Amino acid sequence: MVKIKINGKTFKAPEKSTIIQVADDNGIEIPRFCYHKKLSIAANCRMCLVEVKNFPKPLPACATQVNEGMEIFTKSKQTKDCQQSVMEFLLINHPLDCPICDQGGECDLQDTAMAYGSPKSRYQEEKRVVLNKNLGPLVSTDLNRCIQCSRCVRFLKEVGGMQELGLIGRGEHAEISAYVEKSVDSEISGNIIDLCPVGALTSKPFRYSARTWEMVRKSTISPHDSLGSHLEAHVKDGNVMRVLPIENEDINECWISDRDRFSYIGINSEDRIKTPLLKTGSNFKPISWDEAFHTLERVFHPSLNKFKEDEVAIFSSNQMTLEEAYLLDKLASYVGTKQVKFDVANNPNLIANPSLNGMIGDVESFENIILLGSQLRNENPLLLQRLRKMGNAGKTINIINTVDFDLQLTVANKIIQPIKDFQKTFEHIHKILSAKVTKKENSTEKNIANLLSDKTLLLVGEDIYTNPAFMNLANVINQLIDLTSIKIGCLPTGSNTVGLQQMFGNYVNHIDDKKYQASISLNLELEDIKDKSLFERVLKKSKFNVGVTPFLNKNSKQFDLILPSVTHFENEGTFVNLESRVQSFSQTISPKFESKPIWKILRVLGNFIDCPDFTFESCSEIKEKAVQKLSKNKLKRFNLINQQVKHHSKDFWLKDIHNSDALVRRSTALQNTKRLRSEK
Amino acid sequence: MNLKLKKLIDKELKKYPSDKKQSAVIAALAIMQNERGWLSKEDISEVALYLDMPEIAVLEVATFYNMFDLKSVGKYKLSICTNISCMLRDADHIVNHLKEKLQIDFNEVTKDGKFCLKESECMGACGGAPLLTVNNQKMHENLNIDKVDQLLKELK
Repeated sequence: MVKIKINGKTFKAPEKSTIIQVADDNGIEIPRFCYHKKLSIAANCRMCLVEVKNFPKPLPACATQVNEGMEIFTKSKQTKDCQQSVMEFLLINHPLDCPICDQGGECDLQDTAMAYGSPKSRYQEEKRVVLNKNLGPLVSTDLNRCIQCSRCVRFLKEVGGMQELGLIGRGEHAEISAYVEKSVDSEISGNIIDLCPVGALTSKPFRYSARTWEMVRKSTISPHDSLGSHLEAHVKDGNVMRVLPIENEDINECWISDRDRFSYIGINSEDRIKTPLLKTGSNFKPISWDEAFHTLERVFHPSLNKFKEDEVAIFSSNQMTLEEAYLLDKLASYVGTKQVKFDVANNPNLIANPSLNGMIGDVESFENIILLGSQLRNENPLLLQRLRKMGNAGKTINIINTVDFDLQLTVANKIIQPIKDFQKTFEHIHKILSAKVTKKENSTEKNIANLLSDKTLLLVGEDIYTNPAFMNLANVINQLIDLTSIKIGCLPTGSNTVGLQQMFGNYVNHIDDKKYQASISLNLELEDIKDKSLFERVLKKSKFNVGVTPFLNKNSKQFDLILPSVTHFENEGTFVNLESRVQSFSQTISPKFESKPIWKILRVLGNFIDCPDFTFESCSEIKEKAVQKLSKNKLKRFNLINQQVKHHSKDFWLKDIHNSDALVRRSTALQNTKRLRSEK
Repeated sequence: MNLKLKKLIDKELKKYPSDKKQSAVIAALAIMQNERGWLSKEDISEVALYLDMPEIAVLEVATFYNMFDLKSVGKYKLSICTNISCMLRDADHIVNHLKEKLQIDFNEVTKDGKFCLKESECMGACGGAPLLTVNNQKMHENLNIDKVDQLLKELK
């Protein structure tokens, strides 16, 4: 720790921290444009110049490390003069188009100009003109407004993993550009909109639609991946106008993925179902909710129709909230079908508590990561971003996978092989370590074996730990855990996969290819399901199919009754993220048309069929009950829970980040992006 | 990229650690330009591929230094200094003479594709002002009208 003085007041600061960090930590304001705490230091905007005693010239606070006894003045005449001059320079070429600029009202340049700039400009000459670039369907450019802070360039290079933008030319001719007519295709590219301190990069779908002060901010949790990012929906006139991240260092830091940011566009899709629909012949007829519930009553009331165990197939997505799952479970056992079949990928559940062992931030404290079969870039781009950060910091990232995905990070060792060979690889590593192999060898396995210690984290992707081949592999890995005390973690993909697993344990099961009496599909579309033909076969054989979904889709025709449910932003509930963190969210907007949240539908259905103890008044009341059912067990070793796997689909399921659920699929902006080509 | 070019760039690459290939980007671009006259987008993509760099990062370098030409500059690029020392030694007179004789303005190429005229900044050889360089390589000092005419004759 060193002692420094800022404006005459003494502060203690960690060695090697910069002036701006110390100022930020102690609530002292220093204006800045190019500096961002998550990015490398560029020191090119010069806005943060401060006077430092005994230095003849002012110093950039973002790039100057503190020293014992340093005296800094953030409000002195010299500092103020610098700030005013820099501001005048920055505004020379900045157009005065704030009234038509989307950034107006939340613009760093506007605010800083008001607080630190001079009220008058001496510049009389013509301003420069920069042609706008087409960066794709998400980010819109107004490059006249750019002040060349290079935050967007550094973000895509350092956090996105691929430099897709650059600052070309120099001096007065410098401008931000992608390479000749290329678009920005990163799956987290939307963050450059937030990073841009001026209105040069703005959201294309949001363009010209609302002012920052017209919108009400409602917080929610991301439904698209297992991270549980904190989101803020900005609402105007009952519509979500845009979605921004809420900073949470433990989870999403200050970023969100593009599908978190732009999925809201799907809310008002033309596919939205307005009223309940009943099949009559080959057509659907709109009916009232009352009629819909009476129809359900005739099928599911135990006095009319007592089901045997395993006669109702329930398909649910892994985005189902705890509350919905709790009610569904209660209803299912009441109507007589004891075993609820929750499933989305139709993968068998093989091991107990597949979750990240420890917190998301803890991942970064390891020295080595072994990523075992995961489509991280398509499944969890922000967790990948953390691994990328580790790679940049010189830690080793190792990959063993069936497909060679381009994760855009520095990989130390890589083994690409079919899943059946994984076991051999791990057995070989085990042999190397238990010194059964005496001859010297120089192989990738040997390199990986040398890394194994308690500072090594083995992350297993969902594709792997749900594959029957994992049953034997798990034993080998368990032996390695005993031998080297490596840590393990699983990477489930759905926003509530962990919650549903913890609630139901063994219940989470795959659907058999057989005749069911009735089926209920909740918030699920054909594209969401790995084994599509099985889903269609089950629906074909079953006598009565209920579809609860916000959108009409390809397989809607197979339903006998369709109930309009709501999208995530109109829903409330609780998710458990991959680190077992329980996070509740509330409605950001009220339901569209006559749609209802699933928990309300189930609650009313329960009353119609006289289910006992079904008097919940609110979602939080259900949550209280539901969270009690969550198991608190941690993943230390792989404990196999399902020894006999009858059915599984062998095919590898390549996921598409912008086709991951019904809402994302209906976000026109996301659908117009270039799909990730992460396979090499 | 032909073998000769690759060999030249490989020679430059040897000067840097094997995981810091991008250090050789200026040298590689210079070699490329020497071979092809100017740098097209394809040339830049080739360098990017060879050095394992994002294309935009190579373009950044190519656009930053004005010795790299991103448009055709004819057979001979004449860069004439107009900064203070040369200006005081009447570089403007030379410039006007060249413009008239070649019938082009700055940054233009003669119809026969032979000459291009560029206005350049100080080359640090003010003792020989006024001066110009041909294709960034050969410098001609203490210019006067006769010398310029002689030079144009020599450049075939």
